[in-house]
Amino acid sequence: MPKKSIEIIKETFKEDDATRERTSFYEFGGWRQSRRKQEYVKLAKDLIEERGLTGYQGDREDMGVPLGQRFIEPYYISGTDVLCDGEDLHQVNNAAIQQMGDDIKRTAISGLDMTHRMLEVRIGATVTPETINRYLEVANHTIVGGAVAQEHMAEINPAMTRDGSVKIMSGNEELMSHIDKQYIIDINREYPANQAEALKEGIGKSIYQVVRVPTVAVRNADGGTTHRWAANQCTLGFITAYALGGGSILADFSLTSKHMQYVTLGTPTWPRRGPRGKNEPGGIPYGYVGDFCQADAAGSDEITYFCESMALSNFLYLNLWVNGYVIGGIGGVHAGAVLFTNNVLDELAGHITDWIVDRYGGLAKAKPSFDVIRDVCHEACFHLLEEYNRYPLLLEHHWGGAIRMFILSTLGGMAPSFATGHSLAGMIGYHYTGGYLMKEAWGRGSFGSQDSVDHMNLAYAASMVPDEGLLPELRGPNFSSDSTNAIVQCTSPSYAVAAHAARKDAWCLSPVVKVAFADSKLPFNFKEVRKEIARGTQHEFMPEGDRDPIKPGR
Amino acid sequence: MIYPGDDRIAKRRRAILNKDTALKQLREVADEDLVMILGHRNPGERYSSVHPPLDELKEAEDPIRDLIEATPGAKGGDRIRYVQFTDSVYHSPITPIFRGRMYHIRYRGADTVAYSGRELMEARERDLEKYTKELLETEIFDPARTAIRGITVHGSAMRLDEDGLMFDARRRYRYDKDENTVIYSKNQMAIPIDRSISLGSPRDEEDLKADSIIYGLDTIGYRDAEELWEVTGKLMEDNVKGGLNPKWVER
Repeated sequence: MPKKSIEIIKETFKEDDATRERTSFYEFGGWRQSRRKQEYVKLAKDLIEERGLTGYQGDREDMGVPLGQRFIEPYYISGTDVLCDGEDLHQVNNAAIQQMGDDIKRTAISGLDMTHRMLEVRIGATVTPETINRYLEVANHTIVGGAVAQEHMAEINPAMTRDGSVKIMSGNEELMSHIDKQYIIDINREYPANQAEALKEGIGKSIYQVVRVPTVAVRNADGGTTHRWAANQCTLGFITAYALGGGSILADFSLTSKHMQYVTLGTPTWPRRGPRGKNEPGGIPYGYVGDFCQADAAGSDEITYFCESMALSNFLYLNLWVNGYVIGGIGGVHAGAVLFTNNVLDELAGHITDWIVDRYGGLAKAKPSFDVIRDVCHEACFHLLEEYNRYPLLLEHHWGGAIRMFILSTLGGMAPSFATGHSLAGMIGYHYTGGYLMKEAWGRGSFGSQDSVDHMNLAYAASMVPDEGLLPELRGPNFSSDSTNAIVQCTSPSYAVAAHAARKDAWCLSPVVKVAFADSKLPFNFKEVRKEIARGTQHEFMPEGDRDPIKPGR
Repeated sequence: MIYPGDDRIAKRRRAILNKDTALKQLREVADEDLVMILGHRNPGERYSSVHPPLDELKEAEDPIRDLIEATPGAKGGDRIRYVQFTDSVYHSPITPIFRGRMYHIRYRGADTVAYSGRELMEARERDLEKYTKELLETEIFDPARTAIRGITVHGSAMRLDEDGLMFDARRRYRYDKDENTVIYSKNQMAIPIDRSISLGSPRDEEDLKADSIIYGLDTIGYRDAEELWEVTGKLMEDNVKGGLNPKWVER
């Protein structure tokens, strides 16, 4: 089988032989070999002059470690022909990564059934397609900062909030046919026919509202403001659209429209890991990763959908949560890059998929058992370790234990899920791989005490006791044991996504969340995660939520 | 010492983890050289302390004290100091996980943590020096594939340089072709030292492979370590079953 990943790595390292164990170091020009580092050194010199204070000095060897003693390789973004520097993958340097996180954080989903019932039964209003259209028009005015109830209000510059929106979805096609097209997320248009039918059946006749508060809202505050911003502005929208007044009745209605049937994407996070409000990456369960990712809607096969999801997982949990909140600073960008660069994960996932199809007759065909878990995890792990033995250049590319554990754990979670279609089997395999296999094969693990979470999670694998266990799809970085381990947080979605990909399910955890991220008007295209991030590396991605409209001269 | 498997790697792992097996001495490192490489004190300088010697202290009654004798460093009140070794994937004679396990078995009063490429040990200073001397002088050290690094530790999975040395971004050591020795010119924190120190000749490649405790295509294949994977597989299954219901696991 031709190994595209090895050819790519040979190209990026400028090497003709990936099997050689020996090379030369200390001769590459240090930091100067990186285009971005050169750019930063030049920029920083001007900045130091401008602000009268020293800052970045990457050209100074006495500042710490001399940079670039070995070859600094660039990265291809898998699934694209875009080559970038490692620096381009830091969340601060990549507008697409930021927007992906913002588009998730600023999403407020709520069911409208109870609100409509409240309107009809308690208040005596009539809810019709016409009134729903009227409400959506008003809500799209209020959500971006328009006043509706009081006349003497400070409104928001609409250019600052231009990406705010309120749309609805439903499996009720008759109803949706009467709703103004601009206000609906059209399931039939966004998904292949089979997936659309399954999603409509999953959502049923209920109506769900998908609110995108403006990006600037979550950049000024955090994801915690999303529920509040959406609740306040949409309730004002209802009050206006249905001409509501009164005291206690209005209070009851407000409570209903603001909080009943509200879909929390992320729970508030544990104080010890950085307390944040709802909708922050650290509170989002793993199963939603496969729902945010829309590569399946774009017709991708199981492997591509899985790889796109794992890329998303990396940006969400490693870049934005671990690096952005938990650690700060320069963080651990290189470790997670293994999930979406140089075609490595695609190829290894392809190998284990072929192996599973050959051994078990297809994906999701094997009955879950400890024997199957052992079988597929051993193959996934040993194949990768053998590749490292065959290609020392690949091993140098994966030079850190965290890098290797990122991809190894991902495969350990994916393989049993692909074989069985069962996320619990995948989760057990994930922690078996992380806790035992490379550790005993090589006598080395990842970072200090990395495997402790794996051992703990094996013992709690089948538990549903709070603070012990949970359904695999509902676990997340906010889950007590997983909250301490960056690798586990970023790569655990492998077992949740792979199980549903193997079963060809229409969604992983929620059909409503799945459809919410199919909105083609979102700044970040969740159908092509890696392409979007690649655009970010080239400074070609246009984000929302900046302050251009209020800068001097505007 | 219990460790599964009957192949030479398993046997060697058991030997390293057995405190009754003496580690073969391959070289001598002078006490003064050792102190300079560690960099915690100057040669000849007294150990700094965090408390007076134990025999000068009046301590509260504690039955544990009767059961466990304090190490010399603890008796002297020495500060806790560290040493850290990086082990190349290219057959360093020992690896971080087995270092950690070995430290727990062979060395008293030591604390340790295993990473992917390195292993940190902390102990009272004179205890640490004693343990480090054994770690440097015996078969579990190879000057080309094992290195003392307190900072900028990576390089364990990088390819080797032209002379077969493990990469070090701080260039603490170099290979002396004429003498066939590895010479340290910086201490473990990469601070230059007053004179160069030789840690001896690298071992022959075939010897390193023959003594390797790493499974792989150039030693013993992963898939051939059947007993090892039978044991890890059973640990996995018993952990899951026992975590849910302890009665499901045989004692």
